[in-house]
Amino acid sequence: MNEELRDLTKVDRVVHEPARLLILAILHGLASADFRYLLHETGLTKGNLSTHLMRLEEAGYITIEKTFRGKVPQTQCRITEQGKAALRDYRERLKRAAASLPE
Amino acid sequence: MDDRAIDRAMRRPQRYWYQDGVAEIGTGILFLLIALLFFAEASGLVPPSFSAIGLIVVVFFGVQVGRRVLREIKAHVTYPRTGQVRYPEAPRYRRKIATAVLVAVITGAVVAVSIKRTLPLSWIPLLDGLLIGGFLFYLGHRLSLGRFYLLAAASAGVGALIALADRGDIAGSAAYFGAMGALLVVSGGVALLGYLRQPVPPEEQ
Repeated sequence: MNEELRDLTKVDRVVHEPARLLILAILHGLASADFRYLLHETGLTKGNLSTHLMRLEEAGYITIEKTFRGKVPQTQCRITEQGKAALRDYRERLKRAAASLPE
Repeated sequence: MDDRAIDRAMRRPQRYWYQDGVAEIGTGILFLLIALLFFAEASGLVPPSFSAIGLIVVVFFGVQVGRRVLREIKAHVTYPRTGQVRYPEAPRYRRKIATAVLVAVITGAVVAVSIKRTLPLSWIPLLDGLLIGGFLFYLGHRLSLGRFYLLAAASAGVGALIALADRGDIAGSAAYFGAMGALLVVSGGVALLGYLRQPVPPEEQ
């Protein structure tokens, strides 16, 4: 097995999960997004989305801020610099591995 | 998820700004104001070359005011339905440079055509149509919004038709911006109606 493919075994499992990868990719280009927007864009259920957001927050890849807009609760999510670096690293590993595969 | 899919996901927030059609309606209204300006000069209601200065003022203030108005409309219509996003602010110096470049390009184009008359004046609407159509095509490609391809084709087509009608630069530009302004308002309106018909995700607990 070549080095680039072996490198795939070291991918960040937090980022590697498709739903979390999608969340990070969406947040990457934004200053912040609320829970409702992420629900709309990802198509996940509320419970599923909450679980993935908690996991990303535990890893330090996003921050979550809970506020109120009037009486309506609002959850604002932001990707951290650590999260951007993790996403960048993941993409680079993927590209290197894909490039090393025969045509 | 392959890298192209990740790239597409990263562009989805940019697409969100255009999804509800509100930005298109705003741009359409700006185009109609520009058309009014050119129409006023073509009809002799204002002095010659008034539109050159007026254009800079309308575009500059139109963009500044329009951006604030759009944000307010989105805060009341879009964000309560499909969620709120905040886009990163470009650094202040970059925004000033972009505004200065836009003003310089518009001024330069108007001066070059007025003084040198290197192009037959009837070609100006065609030039407008191709430049704006090119930008719309780029947006359609970047954001995967099919209706922008149609608007790009319409822009080129309208510009060509008006150029062929040989109405001159001012009257021709009034016709072009009037037609495209109306098309953008209609296109944005249809997008907004479609957006408002979508089911609304539940409130977060």
